Amino acid sequence: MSRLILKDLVKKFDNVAAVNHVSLEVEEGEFVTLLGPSGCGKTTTLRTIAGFYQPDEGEIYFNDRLMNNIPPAKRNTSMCFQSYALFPHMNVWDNIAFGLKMRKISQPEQKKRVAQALEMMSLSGMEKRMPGQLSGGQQQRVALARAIVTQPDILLFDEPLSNLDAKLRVQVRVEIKEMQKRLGITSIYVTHDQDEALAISDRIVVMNQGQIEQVGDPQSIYLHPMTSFVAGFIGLANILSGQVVARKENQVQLELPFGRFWAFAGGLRASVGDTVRFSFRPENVVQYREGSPNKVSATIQHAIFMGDTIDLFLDAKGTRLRARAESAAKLKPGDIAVFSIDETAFQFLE
Amino acid sequence: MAATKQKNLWYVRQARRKRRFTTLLTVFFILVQVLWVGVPIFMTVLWSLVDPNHPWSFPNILPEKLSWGQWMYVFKYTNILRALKTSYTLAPCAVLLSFLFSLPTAYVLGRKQIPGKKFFQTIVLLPIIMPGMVVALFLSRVFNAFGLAQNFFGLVLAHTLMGLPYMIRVLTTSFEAIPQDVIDAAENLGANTFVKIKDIFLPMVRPGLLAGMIFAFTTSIEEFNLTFIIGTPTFETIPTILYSFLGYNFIRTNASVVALIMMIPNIIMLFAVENFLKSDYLSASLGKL
Repeated sequence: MSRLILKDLVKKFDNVAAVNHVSLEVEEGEFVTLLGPSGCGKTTTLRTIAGFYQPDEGEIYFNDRLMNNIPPAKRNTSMCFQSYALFPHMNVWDNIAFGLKMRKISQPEQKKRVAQALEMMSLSGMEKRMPGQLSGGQQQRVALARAIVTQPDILLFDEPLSNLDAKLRVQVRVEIKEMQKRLGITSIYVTHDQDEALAISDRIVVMNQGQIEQVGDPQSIYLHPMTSFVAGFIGLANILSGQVVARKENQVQLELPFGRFWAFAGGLRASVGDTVRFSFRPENVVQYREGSPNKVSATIQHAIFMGDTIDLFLDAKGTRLRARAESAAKLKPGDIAVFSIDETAFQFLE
Repeated sequence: MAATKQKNLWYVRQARRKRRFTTLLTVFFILVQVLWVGVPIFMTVLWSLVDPNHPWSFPNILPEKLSWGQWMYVFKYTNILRALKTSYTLAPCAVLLSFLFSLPTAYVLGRKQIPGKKFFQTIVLLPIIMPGMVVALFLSRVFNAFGLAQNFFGLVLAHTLMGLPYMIRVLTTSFEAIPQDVIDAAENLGANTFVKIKDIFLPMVRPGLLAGMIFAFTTSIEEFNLTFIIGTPTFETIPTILYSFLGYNFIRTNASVVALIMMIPNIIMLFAVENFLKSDYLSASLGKL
């Protein structure tokens, strides 16, 4: 188990920075997800931690130990690959025992630990099978068993679930989370799937174009996005800009093409006359009831029934908005309906 | 009842027609195979068994009398036994040497990013497309210059050169086919370079290695040009004896005997290795990836 510290990490390919001055501290036993679109530098960061890439600038520490010049084989990390990367010519047992053999662990101890890992991943009885004879989910579990059996300082996951079907993915991510909590191994998890990131992480690091956009626990990332990238990438968001026209105590009034709205200012430091950018979630735009704040009347363009809610596409005087309605609501495209936006829903962006 | 039967018939008819077509194709290919491979082999066997005192000539469809006379002749009046020994000593040596040469080459061509890689991959294949006699003529000068003519090591080297292109080509493809993730996983789990070669690379290129070895082996067994120019008369191999029955003193019956001696071990080996490859893990595991 280790604390992981990245200091001002830079990794360039052909003079293009794939990772551009990334700094991060991960506590012992913490589960941190690097989340971002493809090409955002998350996998490069992970592979640099594993040692497959040499950083061009910056430092990597496991606890107080500088790891920059330590080869991958000596870092005591375990990586789970998207392709599982099982050794196709070894049976399940030999696959799992590989890391122990490399560490020159005694035979009886190897036996004990492999058996434990097999049991933990409910693979008992499959020791003699070859990887090609296993289903995708089973291969994934062998890969996990192989990773944890060496008792690594840091577990690294490179989109380990993207080759599984949707149902299995949800199941395995719960298993991964449970296993990680039980073993308490510091984990770095790379994914482009925001649901996965929200479900599995202690903390999420949102990355874009080689840089960190925001770091926070799943709730704060979702509820309080700080940049328009984060607001747009995680969940659905209405991202707009408008002028501050009034200010009282901890509230500001915003001028938008479809009306004036009061919003909680939070830490906003803008004064009257400034233009600000902000976002609010579709679930904060709900049907108007007597006494609700911030009335908006809008034309419904599409109403998509999702079962638990109705997904609405609105046109408010030329501005497109996303909203939600209860599934029992009677709303049709073409209707004009009145909505209200919660004052606490406004998140001001950089 | 009759109506339903009629209605259901169209797809039955279609299926039957399809099956008939498949059967027809199969029969056609079996016929081609028989003409292409079976007939020559059958004829060779017949020719090798023609009795020396009862020549097989027009208008006889089959030889008048069969005997082991031709076989006795070949074993008595040629150095076939020594040639067999030479051939089957040469071939394994050549295979081993071409394995040692081609392994690092194929590794670099298959796994490393080097400038001009495509060019090198093509260059390696050149000896195959050049006429054998041309290569042999010019190489023999080199072998003479280095004192490698009329020399067993020289012969091994010559056969190695002829087998190398196949070996390198097949091994390069095998090295290319290994997913980088698997190598990274091994390294991540603590494998050093030696372990990576011994426990990951070699077992994973094994099917390609075996295929390359078959190519190199059969090439060596059949190699004539270079052997003839730099080896004879000190060394005789099966092909040089075979060629001695062709050309001006063309003796088909004896040539048939030598041809069979050359061919049969190769065929047995091919089936043995095929059988061995079939039980291999690779087809099973790569299908899933």
